[in-house]
Amino acid sequence: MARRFQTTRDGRVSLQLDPAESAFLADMVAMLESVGQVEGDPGEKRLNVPAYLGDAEAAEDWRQRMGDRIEIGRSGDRDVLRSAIETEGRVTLQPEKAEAILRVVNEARLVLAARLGIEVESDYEQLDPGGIVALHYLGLFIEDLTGELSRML
Amino acid sequence: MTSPAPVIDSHVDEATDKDRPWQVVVWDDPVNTIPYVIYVFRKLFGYSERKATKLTMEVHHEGRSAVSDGPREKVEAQCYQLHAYGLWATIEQT
Repeated sequence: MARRFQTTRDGRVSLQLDPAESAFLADMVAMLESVGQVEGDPGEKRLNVPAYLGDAEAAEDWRQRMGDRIEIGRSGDRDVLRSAIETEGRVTLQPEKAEAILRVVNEARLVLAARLGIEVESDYEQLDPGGIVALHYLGLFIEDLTGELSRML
Repeated sequence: MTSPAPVIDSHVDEATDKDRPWQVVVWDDPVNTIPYVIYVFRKLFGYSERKATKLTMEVHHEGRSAVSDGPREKVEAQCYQLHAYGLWATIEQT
């Protein structure tokens, strides 16, 4: 089985996904696009944690100044992943694009876990098999890509 | 003989308070993996693998770790970067 990620000699990262993986990651992008559309979404709460604890005014001020930048960055990261999964065969990425994919896949794992009710370690024991498989796959994806990108530090 | 009651100069306290450095704290969460957090600390702060691992394990075992400090503007920008990577980070004064 081909490795999902490979670092090229010129310092880029190549990515090979099979159709099932591409379809699942496309679902994850769609899930992220839905964040914030429903009131009380635990995924939104997890992504938008306050920067100041016990100081709502400072937290809101920080959110006003940084919130848009974070959202723009996340949207750009989703575009990079969307483009990669729409490309057939192996796609070769500049390191900053691989970095974007790392962020967005981690973001998907955070949102999915929050929506599945993961708040503490023991909550994993309550997951249904589908949730376990999805979080495990995303975790492996992150681990593999982190390994490749760590070699460039 | 009774000593005069100390006079507290609130202006001095205010200035001292303002000068206290700020720090960015990363909190433990059950989803971000240890290798990912180590990578983010190395990537964003340029820490050695050893230092990044030490801080990550502190987050994991102690529940939180102050990963950087300095002027408020600096730690606010670092907090923004950590949030962009999905870490649960907050800012506080030391």
